[in-house]
Amino acid sequence: MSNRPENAIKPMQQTVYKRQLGFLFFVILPAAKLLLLPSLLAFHAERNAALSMLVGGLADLLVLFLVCLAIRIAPEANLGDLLQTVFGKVGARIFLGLYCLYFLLKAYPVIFEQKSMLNQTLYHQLPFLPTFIPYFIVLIYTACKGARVLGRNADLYWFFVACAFGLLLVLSIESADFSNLLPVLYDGPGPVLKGIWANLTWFGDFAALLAFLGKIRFAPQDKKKIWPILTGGAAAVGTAVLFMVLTVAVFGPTVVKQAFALTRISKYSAFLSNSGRFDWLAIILLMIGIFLNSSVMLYAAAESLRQIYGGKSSLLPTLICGAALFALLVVIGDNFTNAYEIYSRFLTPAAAVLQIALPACTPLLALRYRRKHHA
Amino acid sequence: MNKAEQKTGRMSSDLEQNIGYLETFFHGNFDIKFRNFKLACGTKACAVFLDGMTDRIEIDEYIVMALQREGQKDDVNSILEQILNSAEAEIQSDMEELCHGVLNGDTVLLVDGQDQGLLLGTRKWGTRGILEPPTSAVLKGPREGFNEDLKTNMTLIRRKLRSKALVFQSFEVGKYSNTAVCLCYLDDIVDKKIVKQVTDKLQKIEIDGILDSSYIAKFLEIRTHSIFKQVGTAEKPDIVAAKLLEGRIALIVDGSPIVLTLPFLLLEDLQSPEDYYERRFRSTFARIIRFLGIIMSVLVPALYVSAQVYNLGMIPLRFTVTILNSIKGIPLSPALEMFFVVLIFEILNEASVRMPKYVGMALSIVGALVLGETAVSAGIVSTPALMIMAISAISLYTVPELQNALSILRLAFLLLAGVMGVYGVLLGVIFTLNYLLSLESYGTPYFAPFAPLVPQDMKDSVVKQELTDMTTRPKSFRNRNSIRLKAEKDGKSH
Repeated sequence: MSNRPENAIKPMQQTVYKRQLGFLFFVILPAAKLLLLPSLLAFHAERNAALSMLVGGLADLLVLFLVCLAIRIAPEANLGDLLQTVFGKVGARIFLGLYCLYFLLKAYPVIFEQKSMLNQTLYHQLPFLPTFIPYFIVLIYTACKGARVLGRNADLYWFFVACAFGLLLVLSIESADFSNLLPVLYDGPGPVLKGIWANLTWFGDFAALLAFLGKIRFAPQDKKKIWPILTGGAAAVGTAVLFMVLTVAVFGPTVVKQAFALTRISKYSAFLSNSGRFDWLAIILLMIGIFLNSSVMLYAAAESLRQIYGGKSSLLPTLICGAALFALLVVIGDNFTNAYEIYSRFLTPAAAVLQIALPACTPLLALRYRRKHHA
Repeated sequence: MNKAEQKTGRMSSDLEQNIGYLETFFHGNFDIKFRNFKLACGTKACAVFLDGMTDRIEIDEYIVMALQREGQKDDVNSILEQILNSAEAEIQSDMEELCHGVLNGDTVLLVDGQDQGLLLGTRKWGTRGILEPPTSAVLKGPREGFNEDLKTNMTLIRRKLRSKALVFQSFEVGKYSNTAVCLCYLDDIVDKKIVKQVTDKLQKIEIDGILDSSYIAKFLEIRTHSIFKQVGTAEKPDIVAAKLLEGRIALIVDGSPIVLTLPFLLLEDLQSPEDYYERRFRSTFARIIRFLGIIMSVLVPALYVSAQVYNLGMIPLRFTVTILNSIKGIPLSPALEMFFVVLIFEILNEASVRMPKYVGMALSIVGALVLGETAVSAGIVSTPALMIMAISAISLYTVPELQNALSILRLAFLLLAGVMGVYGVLLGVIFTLNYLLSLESYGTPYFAPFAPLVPQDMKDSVVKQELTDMTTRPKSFRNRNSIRLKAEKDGKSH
């Protein structure tokens, strides 16, 4: 017998529309890729950094397509169910644990980037911890609201994010010199691929779709349609590549020194010198996208943790994961250089498995799941 | 036998005993009148009624006088069928029901030797006229508004929707107030699950008294401690009729001129009845203004403070120079200064709502001239701060329905801006939106049709389409019979 009072809200059905997932990727992906990543890619690929973004993005899209295939095959199965069909209960739990850790580690750079951006551009001497406690409260609040509210966030923001990118495009294109992109592949494809490999954890955002498996709402008549998710993913990758091209075109060989390209790309516009930096409105809107990116990663980590023990509430796993993420930020603090070293040396192989290899195998897992459960 | 009968609530055939029961029941209240008289045939009878809630002329002329002249038979069936010409009358043998009828303004007729009484509809009391409600004034469109009388309000709705599908379901709520509450919906359109949910909630309400519809709203809300209302309110029958036609339900509460509607979407507060009587371009423009009004009322003071404290670069250079000149010498910090101005405004606002009208002019002079002008010339607050507050205050009244929630949010955002600047405001916005996105009203997302995106319902959102384009009922909430307009394809022009 439930003790729930009459007026208490009934637990929401945690489902998300395919359209919302498409919008979600468009909202969270491009902005988060335009803070530190351009300079990190340019460190290896120099003028061909946009190519690194393109190749990495296309690889991500391929993974997205394969995960979408898995959704078509077994729409009702979540990640734990799929893993369990091949690796058994214990194996599935180990993988879910690894995913939980992976998503937490993936959230760290995004949060660090936001913090650094805020410190450098809005607040010069702001203490780290007191600033980020409110951030974490809102982050945990957003993540524990679950898939449904994240989907609604995407529905709400996609238009504004599109407008923000549009504004930045208009303001920055006048300072772009596209000859900065040439010559293409002067040193061969090596530096381009090296740039991707060294920064692999900055890619693979579509792996977050794994946390939404089994929660996607299908109308009976459109079970086979996965194009809304793919379209959103393609728009996200396209926007990230477009702005990477613009970044290289605007900054030329100095891209490597442009830590927060997104905040600087439009500042040389003649409009802004007369009217003040109203491009900040666009940047602030994109910061919401970056915030949502970390919320989705925290949600994905919490969802993986929840599936390990099979609980119903998302509050406890979100609190645990949020506390772990906060501890991670406190321990690493401002020591991003060391963290980056660890990420690019040790985490890259793990990321290759968790964000590329395993998601790419999900159609096979889904097929096996379907055979087992629909036999 | 008689006493045993009356203990179980059944009438006795002894008139004196029945009168005794009623006197005991009403504790000798002086406004309960017992009019003893004799029928034409000589049988004793008594009319019992509540003074002040009944039509005395009807009692005198059409009940007492009619029975004295023509009451040749003394059984209640004959009296009902041959003598009385009341439109509303029923035979009742349950004393509880009869007492209840008296309290509602009906007249009870007791006849000696009869173990049944007559309950005659004689309700009448003074009510306000049908006036234009001050909070929903329009330039175009109907101007009639609800008043405190349930029957009048029902009639106003019925006059708009003369259909057999219009259902009025009656309830009584309140242990002592026994307030009549009327649930109203269009049977062909409404989702029956919502009707059942609301009916269940109404039946479970256990409270001493319902003095206004807002009491009922508290019981119907999902999150009772929220600063956002989750039940729609309307003061005009055309608004309620439009909502009923969309598949919503309405609740009319006796004694309240405000009718409740469910399910409720936040978007409804952006809509004005006039939008539907104007050209769609004007309506769209007005809605965009209201939307901007919401944003400006909440965020402008906060952004002004955060720009001053942390991010002066956000303001164009020429403005920066002007602002810096104006704030020179102000002893308070920007956040405290704005907080002070907001607080003064809230006090003035609260006072102006409650004070007698004849001192309104004096308050305007004191508030606007003395306080504003002298505070600036004394160097306590700056001119930009006052101007920002004025913009915010005026913007707040573009959406009066949201005034309470927005004024609280404005203070919260001001606090965040003072402590953390734009970043704090941004976190506040994200938090508030997430809260709103998680709210639901009877299975309807509060932020629909924006999130979740319902493209069909965007026709009546910020950008308003012409009435002829809105062919389907809203899909944001459950309803049946989705087609509401069969538009002619030929010759359609915009």
